[in-house]
Amino acid sequence: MALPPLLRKELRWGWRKKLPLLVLFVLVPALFVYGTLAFEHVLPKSVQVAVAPAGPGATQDDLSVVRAAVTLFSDPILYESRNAAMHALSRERVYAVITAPANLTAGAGAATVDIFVSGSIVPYQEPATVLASVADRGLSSLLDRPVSTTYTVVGREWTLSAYLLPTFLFVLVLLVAFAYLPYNLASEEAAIDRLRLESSLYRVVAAKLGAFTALLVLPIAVFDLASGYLGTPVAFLRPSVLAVYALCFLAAGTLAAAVTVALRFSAWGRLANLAVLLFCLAFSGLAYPRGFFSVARRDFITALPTYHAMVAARGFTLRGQPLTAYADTVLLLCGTLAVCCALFAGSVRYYERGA
Amino acid sequence: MRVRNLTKRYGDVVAVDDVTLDFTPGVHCFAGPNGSGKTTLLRCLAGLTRPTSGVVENVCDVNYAFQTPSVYHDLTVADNLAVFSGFASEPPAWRAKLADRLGLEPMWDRPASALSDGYRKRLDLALALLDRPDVLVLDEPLADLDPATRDAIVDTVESYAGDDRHVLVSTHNLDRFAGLADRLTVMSLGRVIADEPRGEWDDPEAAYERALRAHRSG
Repeated sequence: MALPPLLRKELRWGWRKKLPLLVLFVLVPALFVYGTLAFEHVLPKSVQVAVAPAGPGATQDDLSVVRAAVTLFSDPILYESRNAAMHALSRERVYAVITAPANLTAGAGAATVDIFVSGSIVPYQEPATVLASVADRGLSSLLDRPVSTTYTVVGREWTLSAYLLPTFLFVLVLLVAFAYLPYNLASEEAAIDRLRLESSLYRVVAAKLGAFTALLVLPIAVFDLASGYLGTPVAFLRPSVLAVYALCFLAAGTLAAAVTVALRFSAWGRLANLAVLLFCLAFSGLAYPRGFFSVARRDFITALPTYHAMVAARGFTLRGQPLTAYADTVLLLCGTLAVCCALFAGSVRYYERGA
Repeated sequence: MRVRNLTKRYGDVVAVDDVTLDFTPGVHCFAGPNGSGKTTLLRCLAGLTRPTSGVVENVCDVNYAFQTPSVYHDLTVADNLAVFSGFASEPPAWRAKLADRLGLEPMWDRPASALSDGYRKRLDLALALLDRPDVLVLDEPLADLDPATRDAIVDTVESYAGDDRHVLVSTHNLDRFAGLADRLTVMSLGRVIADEPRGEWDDPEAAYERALRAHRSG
């Protein structure tokens, strides 16, 4: 067959499918371009760090001068006490704690400013040393006295590979939820009418989510055993770890099922889920600290439950924190799951109206 | 079992237009040109499609053999029967009997995706009969099938009908149901244009043609 008729066919097809093509070839690229705004710089200039008094004698002036000294390389937040700042560090609300000693501005002689970073946030370890030298230089230029900084790593110091394990497991969970589950659901489309007759779409999806959630214990066990075998044991087989990953999978899987059902098990449903997956991977701050790339991205990341789930997962696996330390995150994930269930119920109603 | 003023619209398209019908036990054939609303009406009756307006009064247990078989393609014949038996209360012997009657045994371990259209239809009918429903709906059960498969399906329907059961058949092959049909409903453009019990016709094909001619001539 000659080429022109086939090209004409593609043109006709393109005209018939103008809306999806517009989405794929115009809207999605535009969103990608817009998304680059989230990556303004490669230096961690907007990472939030805590500035707190080292003891009861530190004044507001002492805190302000420390804050001014580190502004160039971070976004400092004032904390009322060292304990509150250290708690924020353990929850990844800040990535370093800088304590201002008493009489820093009013006293004379050598002074020391302490900088604490978490051993579980490996990507910030090197930037934190830069932060220490920035603070050192900044304070020396602002004050008429010699100031030195000490640098302390809090908690166990992990390697980058160990740090990335909870992240990779999280990526796997999202991949199963947004890529494999919709594919699996769509592959059973032929049986959907019979299943609706014998049971309901709600039960079909509930059974599938239950089965896949149970299956997720396998990769979690593999991560646990393999990390131990490779010499950097990370404890994945804990109820808290299982709970946070299971809740994430259930919420993501329910959302993916809602998209699949709303788009009638079509290829567009799988494409839409892929877009959600890419969005989650790009904007959940899974590996780098918030504010590493831009303020806009930092603020956006904070609004996503996936980011909070990742922080909790790191808390359970790398910092050994108990489930109760992240009760708010667990509640947030339960709330997200409830919203996803409501979306799924809406998508089933929409599907059945047009069935 | 009955429907009252049933209407189903898809946007501007009226698939079923104000249909009122009472159903009686026996083999009830639905005929009509493509797009006349037969499938939509039967899907409404089974609860698979929500009517836009009107009422479906049905206290019976309905099952459905679909025009495009509704089976798990990646499961074998045996697995499909086993999975859907989980929704039925009938003993395993009934499953075996159905498989035997529909000639499914030679295909027992084949995935549904590897079956011919005819065997997929047989499997779909077996799944529909697993729970011995009060109402069996057959949507184009004989379309594009070889004579042997048609015979197997018609024989199964014949032996299943009776015992106060409803068998509702949407078909273009009225000749194959001539000996079984107790009632014929003819539809056109979403409306019922004829609804006659056996006795008012001998040959359902002729009755269908007559109803269409009468409708077209106004």
